[in-house]
Amino acid sequence: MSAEAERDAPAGVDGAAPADPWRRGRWPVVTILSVLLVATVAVSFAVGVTAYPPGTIVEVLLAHLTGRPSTVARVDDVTIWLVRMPRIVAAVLVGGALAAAGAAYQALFRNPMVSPDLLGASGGAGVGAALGILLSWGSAGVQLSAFALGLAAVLVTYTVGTLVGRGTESTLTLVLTGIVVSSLCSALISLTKYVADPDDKLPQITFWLLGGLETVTVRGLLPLLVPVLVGLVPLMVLRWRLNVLAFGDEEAASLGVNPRVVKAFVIVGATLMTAASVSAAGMVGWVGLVVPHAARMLVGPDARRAVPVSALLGAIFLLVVDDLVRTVLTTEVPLGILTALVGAPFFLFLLARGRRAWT
Amino acid sequence: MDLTVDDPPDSPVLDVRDLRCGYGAVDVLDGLSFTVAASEVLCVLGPNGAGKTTLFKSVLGFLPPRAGRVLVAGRELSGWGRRELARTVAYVPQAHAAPFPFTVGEVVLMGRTPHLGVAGAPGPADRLVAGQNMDRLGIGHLAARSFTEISGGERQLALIARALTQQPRLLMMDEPTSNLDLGNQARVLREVRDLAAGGLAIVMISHTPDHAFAVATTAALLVPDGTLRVGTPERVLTEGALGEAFGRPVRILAGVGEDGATLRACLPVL
Amino acid sequence: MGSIRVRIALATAGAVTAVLVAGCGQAPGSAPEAPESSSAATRVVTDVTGAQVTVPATITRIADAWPAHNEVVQMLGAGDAITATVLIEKTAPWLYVVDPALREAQTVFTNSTANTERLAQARPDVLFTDKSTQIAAKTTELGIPTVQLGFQNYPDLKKMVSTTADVLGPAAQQQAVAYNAYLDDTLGQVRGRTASLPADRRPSVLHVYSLNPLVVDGTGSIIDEWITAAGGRNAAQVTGNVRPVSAEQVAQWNPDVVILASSAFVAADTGAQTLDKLRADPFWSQLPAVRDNRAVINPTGGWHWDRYGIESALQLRWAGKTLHPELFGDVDMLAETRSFYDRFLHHPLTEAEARTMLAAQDPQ
Repeated sequence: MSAEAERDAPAGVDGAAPADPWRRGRWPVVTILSVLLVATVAVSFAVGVTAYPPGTIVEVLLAHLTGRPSTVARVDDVTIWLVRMPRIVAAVLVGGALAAAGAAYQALFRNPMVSPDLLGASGGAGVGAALGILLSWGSAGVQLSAFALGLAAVLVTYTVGTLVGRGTESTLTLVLTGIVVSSLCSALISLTKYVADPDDKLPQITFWLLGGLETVTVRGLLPLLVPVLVGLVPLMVLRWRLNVLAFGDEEAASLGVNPRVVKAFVIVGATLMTAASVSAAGMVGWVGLVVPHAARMLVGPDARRAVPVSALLGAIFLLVVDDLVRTVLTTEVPLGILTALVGAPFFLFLLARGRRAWT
Repeated sequence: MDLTVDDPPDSPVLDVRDLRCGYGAVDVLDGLSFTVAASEVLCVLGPNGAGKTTLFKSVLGFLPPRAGRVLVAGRELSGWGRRELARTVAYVPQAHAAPFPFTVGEVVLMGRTPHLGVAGAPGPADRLVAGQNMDRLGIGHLAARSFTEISGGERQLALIARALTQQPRLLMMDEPTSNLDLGNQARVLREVRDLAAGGLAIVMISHTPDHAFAVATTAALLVPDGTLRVGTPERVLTEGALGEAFGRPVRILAGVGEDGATLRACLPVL
Repeated sequence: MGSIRVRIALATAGAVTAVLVAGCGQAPGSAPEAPESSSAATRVVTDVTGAQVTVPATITRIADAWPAHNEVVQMLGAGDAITATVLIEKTAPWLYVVDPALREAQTVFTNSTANTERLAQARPDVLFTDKSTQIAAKTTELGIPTVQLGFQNYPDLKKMVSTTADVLGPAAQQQAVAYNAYLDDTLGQVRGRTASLPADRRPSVLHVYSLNPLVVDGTGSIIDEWITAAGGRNAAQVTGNVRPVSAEQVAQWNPDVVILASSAFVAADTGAQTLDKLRADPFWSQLPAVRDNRAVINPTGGWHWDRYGIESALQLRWAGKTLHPELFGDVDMLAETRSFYDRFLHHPLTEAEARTMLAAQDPQ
């Protein structure tokens, strides 16, 4: 392809080199989406019950980040820094995490119908949260138990799947075991709902199962941020190897990739991100399934771009949906309901338009 | 091709000695011995179920041998790291479709994986190698097309280009001409011959003795009892041996090609 | 190259978030304090979770996320201070008659969500909430004094009223003392009259929460408590309130009396229409309690009399008179209801209004 075939350019040094000539689409999608995300964040700070001019927002943010005094009225300060900021940051993190985990899982399991809760992360987290609410553990306890049981469910899936699937195609066994564990979890959730006090605990369990960002506190951002960033590392680092895995374990091995190791790291990373998201925001559906499809439509299946583009798109998507939740009605519709209302038709649209994205 | 060697220059790239392998309680192959050196093409023939695929899996390291040794470039297979091995031995699977529509360029570029660090992604130098190999196989114009949309012959060429991009010394090709039309078969066979001429050692599975006559320097005929007859195609692939191996009588016809060389073809007697 | 840009983008995003979160450490202290609220005096109240909540001495704006509690605030004289609520007029129409100021309040809560932004903008001096909600941590962070409450029985109901009054001030505290005394009196009287009833004169009572699906209230609930106090036995041999049961269980329990809560009314039916349907239903019509006209409608006022609310005090006398008319011949529920509303909810009812309430009908 290259005309200047004689020159052996040193790899990775030339940052200004032309983009990969064989990739799908010419647009600098990552750059465009990054700008769009920043713009969406800015708009999200501005819109709401009260609209704020950029000056006020910047003043409030600077005051809190640098300790500079500010003249903004307390109610506006509270609204910008304590109501909007944690929600915006959480929406970006949760949306990005679920979508990136979904993209990684779909590549890993060579199946575009896979979502980040495939191996039971959401189900386990749901059981943990419902149990925590049932036993009146308080919100930190509920989050912790959601996180722990989310990880535990995936561990069970992985262990049982490996034991059951010895000697057979382990990906299929793993997926099937994941489905079994997930249904088991939803049965356990139903059980907690059944025994829960309907006046007292049930609305809380329901809230949690439908998801929402209004209870995310500033302090609660750190336990969300750390696992999401830690989980993102293996996904970003191994995303070229994820491409190779699309051709099956043996072919990947013949290309020098250890499929077991890559799978283990990606599953751990994606599970960490999913469990942290679910424990902070409840069970927000559809993001992890739909957004990776949209990302692949934009940039093709190459995980080098599909994973970061999924993360960016997921962040923008959830932020916009949460802005709607926050502003449209005086009472809030649970986030999970709105992501389903938006996600399901969008998925059908993708099916109708872009069948090629996975055939 | 990168031909820096750490073993004596005359030693074979692949040396299989008294290999026994199989699954479960069954030994599929036993007592196999053969060698493949640079510029040699070994064509493995045999009826369905004789163990051709098992042999491939053993040589590629997917199936540990039960007895005997597999030496790659003079070193025991178990002594190779996975990435290191992938820089020496490349596998060309039968043409297949990927679950996601990668472009042909992206697929070929995946051949650079063993040359990258664990966390690495290919850079401009890697694209250069991939591009050269696509051009060499005449599929440069397909680079931006979807791997799922091109023809079976083009897909096979792309997989060969991917294997070459690994810059190996040994190419393991699993039925590279299956499901291809006559023109594409010829195209692939010519590449096999040229690649060997360029210094590669090649092992290919085939169902067609004609292809062994056309490109192989050595033929290996697997017969159903699990033994292997190795030698030049003319000596191994006789009417008697082929008839015995496949259980049907065959005739071998000879003609003269454009350059005066002898062409052979095998026809089953119905 | 795409991947470099990706790394830069992610690194930037990470750094920005990290800075944001790092900034949060000093948030509460360094938050610009507006002078408007700092001058006022405060008082400290201990809520049901044991938390010490500091509230302004003068409460002018109240947010109430617990449906049944809005009526408590009205009773304690601060109904017109409710600016953010969980109620909508349809769920508690009588309360909106009693406390018309509720129409001006914004509905920012549902029983499982809270619109924190509208809540913050409403700048409540205090938020009353059910102790089981997950929002307390968030609202506390927003600087809203959050008082968590809850009760499962009569003694805790009184504590809940007292705690609310402690928040609202001296006048409210007087009213709370009066209400708690009334509740004690009522409990004492009703229990006193039924105490000597032998087991065979205590009818078994099925309290139906919903007909389809069939849901009833079991033991270990406040429903069970007033049934017992009024001289009955709970027919439902299940534990907890709002439990789904089967028709077979109901047939087996064979209750002497069936009480239908207003939540059991189907669609726009009145209580009387619901009873008619019950008498025509193949299953229910076979049940002796229904066949022999021992199925009744539970009154509903500003809040459900039969559930967790202050009108539970009225429920006790009503249930006593319903189960044992011979023991409660002197009780006139119309007069009792009118006097309760006049005295505790600051809204004298007409006789017609009281009649409508006793029939569990919405106000006209």
